Amino acid sequence: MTSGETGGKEFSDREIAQDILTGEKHLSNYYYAPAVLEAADPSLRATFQEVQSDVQMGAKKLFDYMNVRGWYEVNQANNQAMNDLRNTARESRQIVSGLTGQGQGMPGVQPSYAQQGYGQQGYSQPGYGAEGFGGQGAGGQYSWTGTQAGEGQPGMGPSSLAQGARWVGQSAFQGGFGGQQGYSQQGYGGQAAGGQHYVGGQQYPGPQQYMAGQQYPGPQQYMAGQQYAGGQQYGAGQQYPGAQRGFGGIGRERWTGTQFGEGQPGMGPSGLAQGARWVGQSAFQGSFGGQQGYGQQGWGAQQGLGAQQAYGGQQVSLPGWTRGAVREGEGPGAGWAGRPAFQQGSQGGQGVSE
Amino acid sequence: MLPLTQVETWYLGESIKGETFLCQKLASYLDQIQDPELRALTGDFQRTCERHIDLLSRHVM
Repeated sequence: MTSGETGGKEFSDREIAQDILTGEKHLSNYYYAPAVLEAADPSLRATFQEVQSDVQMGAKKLFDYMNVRGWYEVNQANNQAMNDLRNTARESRQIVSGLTGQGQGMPGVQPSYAQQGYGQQGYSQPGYGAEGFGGQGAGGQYSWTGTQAGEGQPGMGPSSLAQGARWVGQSAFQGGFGGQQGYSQQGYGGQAAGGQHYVGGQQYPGPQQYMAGQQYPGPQQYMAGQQYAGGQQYGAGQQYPGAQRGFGGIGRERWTGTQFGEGQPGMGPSGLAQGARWVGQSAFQGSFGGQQGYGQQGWGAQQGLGAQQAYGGQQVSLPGWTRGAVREGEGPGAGWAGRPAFQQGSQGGQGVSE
Repeated sequence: MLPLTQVETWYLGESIKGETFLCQKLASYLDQIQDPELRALTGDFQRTCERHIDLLSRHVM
């Protein structure tokens, strides 16, 4: 293996390629994708689109470079995953055809997100918060504005993150997720990695929103699980067994960031598709995904997003940003540290890899 | 040019910083990489980064 040397630490070409790809993903997922959506000025939007396109093309080149060398594996989905996916697609089509055909939820498809999840209590009701994010326990106590200073749309995902999405009300989450300062300051990283908290609610706020919550803990710190302050409640009053040790636990549960050792343990939505998984005895299962993954108690919870069929499957397919660097210590995986906005959340670099 | 919104300002700033950081990293990697193909790729990325910084900065100047 070839290697270079920097500051006394050697990096192989593989590590370097991996780090560059991680950097590209980071830029693409966390900055350019939402920036395109949020830019009000057409010319600025066009610039973000152009840059985003460049970054994606560059990432593809690196992907190919690594893939042909066996450094970035891609595996075929297994039958179970494919069946689950087909069921999900089938149910979604039924739901949608029911909506367009009858103007109401599809009878006989229960629970479905049209009926109880997204529709009624979560997503589309006033403020995610009503009973959404905060879960039933919140009972309207928390509400999610999605924006800071009333700006923009109370949308979902990274785009709203940048606006400093915040909770209103007495949120167990404030310290970690955003609090008053939005994500640059205490946000995402913060003390609590609050993303869990809100994801764990009864309602499924939508993948984007989940991302928003998860990302900023900064993969490393979040995964390290040292500061999962809000964990005791974990959503709608459900106990989060691993709360005290947080997401990653302390040396016990580890997030590999990939499933079946596939792909790159990258970050962000791109990593999500790789089917991230937990290794070890995950304290997380009971509350976040349980046996049914997203569907049962987690994302969809009992009333959300199609319940059992929602994200279905045995795997708790957490988004990539819940991962940290795979390599130990500093090195290519520790990129981005030092940027002010992410310091709290993403520095550390030791999280997942221990 | 329209005045920038708060959100645009944030994204521009973070993007410029991110590209700059990446650019610096790529420059340091160039000296270490052994494989000519990867070195060429990295050189391309570095130039792309510089162009991005230029493009993004135009909206600020």
